[in-house]
Amino acid sequence: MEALQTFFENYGALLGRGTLDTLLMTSISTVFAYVLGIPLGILVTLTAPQGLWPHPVFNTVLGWILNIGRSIPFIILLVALIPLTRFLVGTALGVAGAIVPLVFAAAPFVGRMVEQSLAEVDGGLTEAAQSFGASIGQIVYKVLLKESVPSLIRGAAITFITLFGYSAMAGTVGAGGLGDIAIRYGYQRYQDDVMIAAVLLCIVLVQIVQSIGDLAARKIDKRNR
Amino acid sequence: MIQIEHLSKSFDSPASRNRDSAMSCHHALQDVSLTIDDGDIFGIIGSSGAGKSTLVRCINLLERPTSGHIYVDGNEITRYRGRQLLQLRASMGMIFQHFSLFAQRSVLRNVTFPLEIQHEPRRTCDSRARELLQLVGIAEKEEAYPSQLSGGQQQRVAIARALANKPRVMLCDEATSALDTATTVSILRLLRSINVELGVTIIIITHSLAVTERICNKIAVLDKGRLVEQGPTREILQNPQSQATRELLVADTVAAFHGAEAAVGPACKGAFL
Repeated sequence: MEALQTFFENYGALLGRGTLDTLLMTSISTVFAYVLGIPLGILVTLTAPQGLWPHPVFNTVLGWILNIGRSIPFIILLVALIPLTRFLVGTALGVAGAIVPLVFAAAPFVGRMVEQSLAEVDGGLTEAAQSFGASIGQIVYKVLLKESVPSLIRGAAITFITLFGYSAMAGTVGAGGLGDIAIRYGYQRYQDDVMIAAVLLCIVLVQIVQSIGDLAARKIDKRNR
Repeated sequence: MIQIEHLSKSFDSPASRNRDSAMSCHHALQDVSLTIDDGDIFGIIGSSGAGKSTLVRCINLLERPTSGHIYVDGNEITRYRGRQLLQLRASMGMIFQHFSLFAQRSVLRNVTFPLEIQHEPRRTCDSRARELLQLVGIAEKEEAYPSQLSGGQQQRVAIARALANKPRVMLCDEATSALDTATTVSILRLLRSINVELGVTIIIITHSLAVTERICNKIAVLDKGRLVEQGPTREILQNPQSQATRELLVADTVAAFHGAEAAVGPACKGAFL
């Protein structure tokens, strides 16, 4: 008991700070990844051969970009994007410096997740909307996005958790966070207790986010009532 | 009045989007000509793969015909593009085999959908939708979601939605095929009253002669993409000229027999035919 108390006295602030940094990095990156990823997902859906606005060349090129974006290992992207990060946020270091590469790593991933969600919408609904004279924009907004909200929410939880994992590498640019603590203390300094505490915090946070996502998706879904 | 002249539709590949069957992939429709008068309840009948769905989808240009022309009140709609095309579609209501209601929208919001598309103010949307839900007999369900409704109720909502823009033409694509006999009868009754009271021209696609016999004043029979017979319902059913029509008659008798056997007994068949 006393050992535990000493541990928290020594490392409580560090772990608290790490939790905060991780949540900050991950949340902000998720939001911006969706700002980029939703239009990407919509475009790749619409321009598909069977889509509402078929455009094979554009669709193929966009598909490649999304695939290449997801192939680059995050640690490489983190370093490669340093000049762009400096340009966009003024620094390549710290939490701000980590957010830019996180967004660029996640946007193609989000694009595919959104594409997947939109694909789940029954084609009959698109056709019904067309039969009432809906334009492509109206179909996207009022049918495809509206009908896939539960699926989009589940996707957002998955994206958040994926970025949570990526953010462990953000320590490379001094952004801190739980992953960074686990690596530095556990791997480099053999302080197993700190590493275990950081990993436990990661597990708890991921569970909470997933549960919130599931609950929200279920609450908002009007099917199966 | 809708005039269809020498309409043909071919699909490029066997893996095309045609919903009828592999049969009609190459030539879904071949040289189909027919006239639908205002106030008709016009049945288009044929076995699966005959091209019925393709034909009805050409009328609101969900499918573009490969050749031929369609005139609505003398205007050649097959030329329409862009905004004009959207306006044409909005002027026709459509209902579907599997209802195609928006699962994440309440009954009321499903019915207001076509009005929202036309940028009608919320208040107009709501009052018009309530009127229509009253008309189709499910006013008390406006806050419900489609998953909470039975098939017959869902089709009633779909009918209300199709009527939202005060269409003069309503297209029904196998609208009763997913419903049981009693519900089918009640939906057909509703369609007939809409035809009589609102003066809406109704075009019904079906593979069931019993459906056409019950409410259509005229029918056209499609077989493998060709129009093989058309005329007043009674004449065609009493004196079928084509092999395809005779086969449909046989199929229908068999279906009615099985239906009667399985469901409510002979009374059911009597009520239906």
